Amino acid sequence: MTVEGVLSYLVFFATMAGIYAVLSLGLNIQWGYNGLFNIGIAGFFAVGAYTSAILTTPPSPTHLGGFGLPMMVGFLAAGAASGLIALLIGIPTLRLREDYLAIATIGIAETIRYIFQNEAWLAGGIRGLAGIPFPWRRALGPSANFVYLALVIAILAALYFALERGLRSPWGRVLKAIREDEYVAAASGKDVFRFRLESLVLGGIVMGFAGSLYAHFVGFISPQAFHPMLTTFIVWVMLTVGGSGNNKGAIVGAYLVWAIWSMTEFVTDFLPSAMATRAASLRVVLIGVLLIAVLMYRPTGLFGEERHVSRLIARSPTGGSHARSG
Amino acid sequence: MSTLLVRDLVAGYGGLDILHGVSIDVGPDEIVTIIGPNGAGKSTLLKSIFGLVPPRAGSVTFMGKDVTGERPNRLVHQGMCFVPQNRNVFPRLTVEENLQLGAYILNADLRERIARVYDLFPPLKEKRRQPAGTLSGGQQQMVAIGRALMLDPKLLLLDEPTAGLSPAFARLILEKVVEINAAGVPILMIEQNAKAALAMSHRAYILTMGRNRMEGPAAELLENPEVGRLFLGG
Amino acid sequence: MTEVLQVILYGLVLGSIIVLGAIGLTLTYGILNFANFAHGDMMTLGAYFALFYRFGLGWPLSLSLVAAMISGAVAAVLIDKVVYRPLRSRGSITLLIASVGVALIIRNLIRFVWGPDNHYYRRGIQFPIRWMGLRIKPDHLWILGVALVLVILVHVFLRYTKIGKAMRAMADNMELAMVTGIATERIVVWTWAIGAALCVAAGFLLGLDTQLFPDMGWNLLLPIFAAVILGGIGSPYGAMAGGLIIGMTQELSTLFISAAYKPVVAFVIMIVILLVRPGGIFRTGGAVKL
Ligand SMILES: Nc1ncnc2c1ncn2[C@@H]1O[C@H](COP(=O)(O)OP(=O)(O)O)[C@@H](O)[C@H]1O
Ligand SMILES: [Mg+2]
Repeated sequence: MTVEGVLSYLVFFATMAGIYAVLSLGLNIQWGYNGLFNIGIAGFFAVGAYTSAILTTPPSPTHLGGFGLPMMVGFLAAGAASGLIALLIGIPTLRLREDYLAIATIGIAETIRYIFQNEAWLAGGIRGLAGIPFPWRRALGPSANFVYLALVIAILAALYFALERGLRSPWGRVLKAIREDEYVAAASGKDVFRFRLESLVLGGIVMGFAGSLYAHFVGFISPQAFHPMLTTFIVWVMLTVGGSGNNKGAIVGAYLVWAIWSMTEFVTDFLPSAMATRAASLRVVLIGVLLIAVLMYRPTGLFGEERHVSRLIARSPTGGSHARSG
Repeated sequence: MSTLLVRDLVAGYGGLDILHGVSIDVGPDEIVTIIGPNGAGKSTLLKSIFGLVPPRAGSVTFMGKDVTGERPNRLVHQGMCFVPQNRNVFPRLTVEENLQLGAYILNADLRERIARVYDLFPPLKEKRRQPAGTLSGGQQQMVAIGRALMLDPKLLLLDEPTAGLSPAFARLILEKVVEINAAGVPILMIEQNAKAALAMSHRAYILTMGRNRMEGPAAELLENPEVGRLFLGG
Repeated sequence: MTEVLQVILYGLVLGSIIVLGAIGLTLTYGILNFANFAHGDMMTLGAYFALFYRFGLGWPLSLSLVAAMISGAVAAVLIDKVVYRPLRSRGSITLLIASVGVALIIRNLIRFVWGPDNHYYRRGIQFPIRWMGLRIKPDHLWILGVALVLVILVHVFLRYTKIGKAMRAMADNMELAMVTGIATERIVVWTWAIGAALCVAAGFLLGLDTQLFPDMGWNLLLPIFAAVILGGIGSPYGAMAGGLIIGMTQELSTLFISAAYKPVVAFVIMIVILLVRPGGIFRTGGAVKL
């Protein structure tokens, strides 16, 4: 492999991991800070990607849109559309038991996938959407991916600082207080439902952004890219490994897990192709084992949680329903 | 020999102690009542005697044996039975199934025991095929107590058996408690209905803030003006 | 008219499969208090176990089913021992996350061992029996028969055996079950075993009806959850009714919308139930009818 080859692979790696880090930050807003159990990440990601793609691709006779709008518009609209889905799913379910939210989010993710898969008029059906632009790709030539990486990193950094500020604000402290004990929070006069909805929607918006970044990076999307479990699951592993409730952990976890994921791909690439497809499934098994091992042996993740809230509230031995123990 | 001997029991939830060294005795054939304000730790005391909340210090001796922190399952085998305050029936199981589960640890024919419960609480007999959740509050309480009697307990722990019942039902339940005790079952009971409870008990303890406040023969406490003013509402 | 009857027959077939899956899920949900997302993949695993006994060892199909049910029960008990039991004190959401991990591990091990392609229990086409204008495949009769027998066995077990009653008691009120002296850990083991055996049967029947592939159980997980929530979590009888309703509605919906949206129909029903009757359709206030 040439030096350029290695370098271009590293850029590709850092960009993909950066996009997943955005997803991981989105999940951290929902789960890490507010205890909302979203396992429909793939759905939010897909809505973001498709929204951006439909708005920015050139006009096409075979499916909706092709509005040829600037990428910036696609990016913002992706966040808006995904946030809207979060709002719609949150209103009926956020007052219910937390596991109902889990079931509802996976349901919406599946529904979204079925729609994109079956409605060819909307976004090409299973053939997907191609030619999603990155405006300067042609002008930049070989360095385009560098620029894209810089863009992803800039957005990631901006999100990181914004979230750190937001979550250290009174608003963020209420979110955590609700996660710790919704009854105490409610008793102190907080509108628990509203705060939950805000955190679900904000997380959804961030996931929509990630979808847009993904679409413009790879240039082609199809329903297969948003298989509900794989996309969702790997983000959960990233946040759990990094340490939920910690934005730094969310980002480092994303890079680390994506590195493990990519390295296992190298290994399977050495196998004869007949075996390679099968061995690929072992990669998922490995990630699954990693998740369970972290849950068992290091439930706070690598970074643990930064403490902004006092821990005076004693947790009842029977009623404890949060994953973190420390 | 006391049936139950609790000494300096400390227990609580999470990082917080609720009981700070409580001591009580229950003699054979006694009805002993615990009264005290809400949040005093009365339920916590029964739960930690019964092993549902692990004691952090102190001891529980039952029929001469140290049973501090024993699991409920083991205590049931030794003859201690507990009727919790809330959610004390299996709502989707029939009345008869609730009673059968009371003697879950026995491998015996239960018909005679069940018949005895029906003798004590006749209304249950005609409802025996109904899910317990469909019964009135008073009848559910009968199911709960009947379930605890299925093992012929050597000690019965009752947490507020009349909570939420109409005055008529409350009186009925307390009468039944006396009847059960007359048949030879020692009883340790928590009651909000302090006057009525003291009137039927042998002895009583007053608990405040996780500590023994007063104790003595129930009749004396009933007469005590301080008790009257503080705990009997007048 | 015949067309509707035909669809109702399909609804019964799908409903029976969902019922078998939902009984096990509702029991573990009610007793261990967590939504087991690996239940669908357990179904798939069971179907492939039967495939192994049928073609790997050459056993008759019916014996393969029984052997697969036993293997599935053993697998579920082992998974509980290794994964869920150590995490049980950490709350229902940790268990839920772990079950998502287990789901992907199972599915991808299946993919590794048996590959991504479709498999069949039987070769060749079955010729449907014609009866009153209906087309009935012999396999459909098998599915209905096996499901009926198993549901009756489950009923007898839950109603008339001590372990069955203890299971219902634990699903109703875990703390009271402990107070009563039930050895809860032992019943948990039984719950996994029986839930998994039924779920394996569901996977087998699904494979018999259509074909085996690694995502087959996952695709049915949402309808199964819908059935469980419809019937009230922890209620095996509710799960039976819920399963039939969901299966029937899914098939009837194909008269109006594309069959590709069958799982979405189940999801929509579930959301509506969550909105209007989060305790399930059979729950009336505090009182519960069986
Ligand atoms: N499961 C629990 N977790 C945390 N605190 C509890 C729990 N149960 C009771 N408490 C607290 O313990 C204290 C005593 O409660 P309890 O024993 O129920 O009092 P009582 O029965 O005398 O009214 C109360 O302050 C209550 O809030
Ligand atoms: Mg109390």
